[in-house]
Amino acid sequence: MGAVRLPDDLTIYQVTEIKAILLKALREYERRNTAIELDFSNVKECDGAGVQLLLALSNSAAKAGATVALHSVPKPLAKLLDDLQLSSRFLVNS
Amino acid sequence: MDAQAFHDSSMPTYLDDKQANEEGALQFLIFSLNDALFGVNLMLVKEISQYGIVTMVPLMPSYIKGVINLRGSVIPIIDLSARFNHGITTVNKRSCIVILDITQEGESNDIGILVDDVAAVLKIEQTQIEPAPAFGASVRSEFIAGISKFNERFVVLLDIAKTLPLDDLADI
Amino acid sequence: MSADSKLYADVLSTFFAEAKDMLQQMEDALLSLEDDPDDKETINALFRAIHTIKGSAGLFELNDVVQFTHKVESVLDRLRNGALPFEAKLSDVLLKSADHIFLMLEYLESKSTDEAKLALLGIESKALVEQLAEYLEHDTPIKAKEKNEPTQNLKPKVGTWHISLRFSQDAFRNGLDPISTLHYLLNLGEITTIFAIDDRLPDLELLDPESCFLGFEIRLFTAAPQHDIEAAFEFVQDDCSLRLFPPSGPEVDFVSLINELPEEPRLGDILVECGAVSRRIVEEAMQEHNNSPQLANAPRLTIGEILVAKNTVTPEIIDAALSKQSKMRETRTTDNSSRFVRVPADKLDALINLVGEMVICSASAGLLAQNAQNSSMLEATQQMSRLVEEIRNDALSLRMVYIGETFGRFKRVVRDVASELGKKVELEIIGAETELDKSVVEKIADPLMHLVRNSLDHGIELPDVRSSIGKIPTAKISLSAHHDSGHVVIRVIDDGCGIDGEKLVAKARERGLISLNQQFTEQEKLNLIFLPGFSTAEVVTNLSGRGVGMDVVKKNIEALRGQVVLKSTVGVGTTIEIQLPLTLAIIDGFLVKVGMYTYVIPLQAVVECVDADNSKLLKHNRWSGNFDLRGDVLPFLELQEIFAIANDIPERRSIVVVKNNDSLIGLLVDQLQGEYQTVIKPLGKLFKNLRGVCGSTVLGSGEVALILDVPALVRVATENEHEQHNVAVVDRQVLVHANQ
Repeated sequence: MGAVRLPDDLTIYQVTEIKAILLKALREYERRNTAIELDFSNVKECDGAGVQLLLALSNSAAKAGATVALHSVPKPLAKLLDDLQLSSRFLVNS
Repeated sequence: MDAQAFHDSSMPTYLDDKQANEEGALQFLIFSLNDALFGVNLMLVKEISQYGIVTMVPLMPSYIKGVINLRGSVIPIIDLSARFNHGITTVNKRSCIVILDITQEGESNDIGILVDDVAAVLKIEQTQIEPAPAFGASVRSEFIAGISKFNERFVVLLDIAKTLPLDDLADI
Repeated sequence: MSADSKLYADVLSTFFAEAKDMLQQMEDALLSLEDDPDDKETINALFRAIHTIKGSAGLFELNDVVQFTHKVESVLDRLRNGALPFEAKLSDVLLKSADHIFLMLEYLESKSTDEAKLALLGIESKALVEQLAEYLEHDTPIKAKEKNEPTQNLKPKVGTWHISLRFSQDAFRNGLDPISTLHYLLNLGEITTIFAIDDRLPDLELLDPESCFLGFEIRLFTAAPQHDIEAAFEFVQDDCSLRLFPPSGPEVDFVSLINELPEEPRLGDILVECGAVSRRIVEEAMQEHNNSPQLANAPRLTIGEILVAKNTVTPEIIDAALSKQSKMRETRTTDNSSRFVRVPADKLDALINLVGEMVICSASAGLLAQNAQNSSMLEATQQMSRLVEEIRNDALSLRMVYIGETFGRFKRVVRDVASELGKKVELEIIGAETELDKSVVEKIADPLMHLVRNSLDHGIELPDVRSSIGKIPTAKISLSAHHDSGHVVIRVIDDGCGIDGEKLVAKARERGLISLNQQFTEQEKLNLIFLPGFSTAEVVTNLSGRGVGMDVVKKNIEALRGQVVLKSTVGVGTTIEIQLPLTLAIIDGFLVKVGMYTYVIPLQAVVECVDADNSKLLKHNRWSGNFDLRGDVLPFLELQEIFAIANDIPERRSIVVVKNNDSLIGLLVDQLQGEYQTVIKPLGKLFKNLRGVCGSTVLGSGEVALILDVPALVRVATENEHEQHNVAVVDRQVLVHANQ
């Protein structure tokens, strides 16, 4: 299975929908042991709620023994994760 | 305004849809003026007030009697007799002012009419209302919404919106 | 249920009113930033305005508004963080966005179901969002360090602050974004270490993604003073707990932090790791904490208390952070917004009416007391009447607003229109504090708008044209207001090309508005511009060619019982003077009696009162004449004749000398009754064409008295004289005066 493509808006307005997507990806991992790979190429915006959601995914994935890989991360978001010193929690590929 | 008005089958302006449909009868306040009887739709009548001090407003037509203070609001008083070209009303002991609430273009305006005496409140079936005669009435036919009877006497039911059109009065 | 929905409607309408105010503040802020782009305070105000709109719109689930304002807020956030420079193009987009939000609110408020309009708004939203996105996407933030370096020289106090932040669960829902706060901090200095605290963050499955569980421990290396750092949290303080530790603060302060957050076992480690505190201190505190005897009735001592007990630290230090927070709260409550209460205008009207009634009642009570010759009752009624007067004055002043607010809106118009036309214009505002009734202010905005646009369009020359004729390239438009003789005088003055009377005459002839051989005085030539169907625009621009002419302006002003006078000198400029009555304003009146009627003359207009000695009265016609006032000729009007009052002329009459524009005129009356403060009651629609009277008032006796409009009265008399002019040779004195 390829990377899960996220919608453009990783913000408070969309987090409920995105949580469902991420949860599905986590379950997928638990069932088939495939990596959790997220495709950020569509993501245009990300706010605190978005970051928190990614963090929750990372924590839950870590408990399950998985790593979360982020692909096509837009520069601003990569910078944001750097600024927050959170990059180490994910595998960030820009 | 012309004679078309009474051949027109459209509803006269004094009719209130709901009232007419549910009861088939309308209530009128009957008053006398120069020994003739007139009626106005009771729905328009806000209150009846004793004739008191009327302040003359200069440079206005004679049928605008002036203004009064009605609990803090300044309200114009129309001399209905002068409006009908029947001469200026002589105020007597029974004279009173009928305060009407005229709503035009969504704007509500209080206006008082000076009458000789208030006679009664009358319920009149629609079938009892005759159209205004084209001529021969004591007031201009466009002011008349219909004719009815009270105690064997004719009552002229006034179309207030046409008798007292605020805009027209102001433009004179 | 109906009470609930009424409450909802009330609150919603308050939201609309407030949001519109916020938009106005936003516009003001943007315009003032154009002059001073570095004003941090104003940028904050800008952010605050849009942030508030977004937040409240969210409460009402006005999602379109929330989505759009969110974009605007994001841009403003970058502006606030210094990631974006403030420049003209950005200002344009933001102003347009404010306009757009206004239109969205209008649409929502009208509860319109107009699909076409909605679609149009949608298109506009999209277009603006795209423009806004430009400011969001190209990501070239100014490096915090670069930005701070010059200031470091000025403020050598550099150090590493420790900031401990925990957001409340509602933070996201209240429209806060911790990221924005962090960005702001980045702007202040360098974040050397930051720990995202996610101890409270549930597993993904259980997470409510709209609740916030984030916290941060931040080490900020900065030269900024505490005030600036606190400012970063101004918008979030209600939704987060903040602890700020200054660079040189004692380590033990951190103990209370650890103590406050027992559910975060890693906190001590984090603090040690980021260098805030030595491990020894943490361990000592922890040990003490665990060893403290837990008696049945004694509450367990907190680490803070232990340290205080050990004299390591004073309670003052432990409370420092708390007091810091409460200090921030205090500054917030002295904010302007909390000092005002929004009240619907009709409630004020009702109150003023009631107070008016009370004045009359108290007057009649006083009269009764006097008649009863009961001195103690008289005293009581006098005291009451004094209080009632005070209440009335206060009540009336509630409706008065400063005209400055209306004037201020023209900054935007002048800016936009001038740039559209390639002109340079400075707007000067004089007398912004002039008060007049809210209803007048509302109605004068449109005519003023037209006049200002006219000036911009036709009056002001292009900068190079101005230079070539020796004027400074930047033109000036002044809006001024002041009170005069019971009126408000508003002037629109430009230093443009002026209006050529001859051109107006030619144009009017061309349009067939006047006959070929008609002769005019200079003033009459200028007045031609007010003729219906007259327009001076040679090229119809999209500004003034919008179909309203000066005739409409004049009509609108006259509908307010005002007057408009145009003065112009070719090459020098144009002045348009609007005289408006105060309408519902408090007017100090002067009572006079003619026959059985009482009239009120606005006191400001009254100069003096003199005995009308019959030998000094010289009548020219039925309405007017001349009076010998200490050797000067004073034209007078005989009210009794003008108002056609049947009356036996008393032996002694008086003349009230009043100001009329720049001249004096006398009013011949029967009796003087002295000063009286009056509440103007409008006369209503029926009397809208009545001239010479500008309203009415109710006297203590309950009788209605008319308030005289002196300038209009003079005009009426003058016109009457005009009509008679052909019949008899009349002294032109009144006419001359009236025309001045």
